[in-house]
Amino acid sequence: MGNNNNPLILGRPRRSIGYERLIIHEYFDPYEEPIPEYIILGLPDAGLVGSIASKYLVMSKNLKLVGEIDSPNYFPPVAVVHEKTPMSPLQIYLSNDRKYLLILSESPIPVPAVYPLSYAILEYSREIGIKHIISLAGIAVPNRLQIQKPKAYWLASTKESADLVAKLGLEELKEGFVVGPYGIILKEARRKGINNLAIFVESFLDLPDPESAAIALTILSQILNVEIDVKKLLEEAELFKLQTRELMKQTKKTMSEMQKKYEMQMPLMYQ
Amino acid sequence: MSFDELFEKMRKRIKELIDEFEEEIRELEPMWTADGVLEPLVSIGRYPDKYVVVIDLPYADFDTLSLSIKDHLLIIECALKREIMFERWGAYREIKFKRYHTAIRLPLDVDVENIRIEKDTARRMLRLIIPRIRIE
Repeated sequence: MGNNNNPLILGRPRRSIGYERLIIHEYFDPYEEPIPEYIILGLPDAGLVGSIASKYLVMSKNLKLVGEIDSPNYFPPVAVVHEKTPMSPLQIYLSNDRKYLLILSESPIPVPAVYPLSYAILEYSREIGIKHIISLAGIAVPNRLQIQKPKAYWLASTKESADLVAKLGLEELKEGFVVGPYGIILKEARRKGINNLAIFVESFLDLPDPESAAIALTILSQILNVEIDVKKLLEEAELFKLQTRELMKQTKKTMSEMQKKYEMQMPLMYQ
Repeated sequence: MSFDELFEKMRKRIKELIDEFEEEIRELEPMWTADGVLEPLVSIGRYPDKYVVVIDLPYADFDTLSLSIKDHLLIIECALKREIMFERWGAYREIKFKRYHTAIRLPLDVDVENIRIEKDTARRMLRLIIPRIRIE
């Protein structure tokens, strides 16, 4: 039984910032030194690669919950409850050394929220002085079950972000479609000169893929120069899959509304 | 428009409405029951010559796996290796999950006699390759 004397894990925010009907509630001081250098994005997408990677990162590194993103206009009327505390499913975490922030979502991003959320993340990053936004994503491949070691690709909005993976020997995504918030953030970051690096790991489209999430985290650990041991993630892959089934089901519907299968098409201007 | 064409148009529209209704019902349904039955996630790919159905069965005991087809309904049942409970999950913490069950409506153009089943025991996933037949 829980101890009723334990305080809630979130109280009143220190600051709430509005971005076109989206609100970021902060429970920390983003300007305190050292200012976080990176924002890691783990939003529900193909194979829940970013979501599973983010969940594991929060658990294994004991990241601190420091913010929420909410919207009365774009998000369904949902509160998720953790340790007795009602909160938004879209949460912001901070690493103990303040090196990086992490944004994850426990519910799919509704299609009308994709653009405003992407813009809000970009504006917020610029405002608090983030150096790079790093997106962790899956890229669906139809023969995923036959692939033992999924391949990773990258795409960057600036040369500075491309330099993050220069020595990792990964393949650049040169042609194709990127559907969803990661695509919007990439193209808008390029237009605004904001550094955004997206890591795409081959994955299932509509089945949770902890193995691909582990590969995304291994790459992230090299970029951040932070040790991330994915052994437990692989050992507990079945548990992660079981716990994320409903999110995958809901995300599948959202991906369908976003025309996610575009990603498997060849662009008209491919040469 | 002839009577037959009008009838066909109405028939298609009614089928679309029924499909939409069924889809909405499915979206609202949880993927489990209070007596411990889990519905597995299923991914269906349609290709020119076949359907590929991948079923994700974490914690499944493949020794208990049962697949049957009746009237184009593929029924999959499998016990879990052990009972699973989520002890801090609000009002549902006492539910013990014991087995998987799902029924997948197969399209009309499947060759049910020649289904190939592949088991990935390490990942606890099933892959069914179902040839398509030409319907005249």
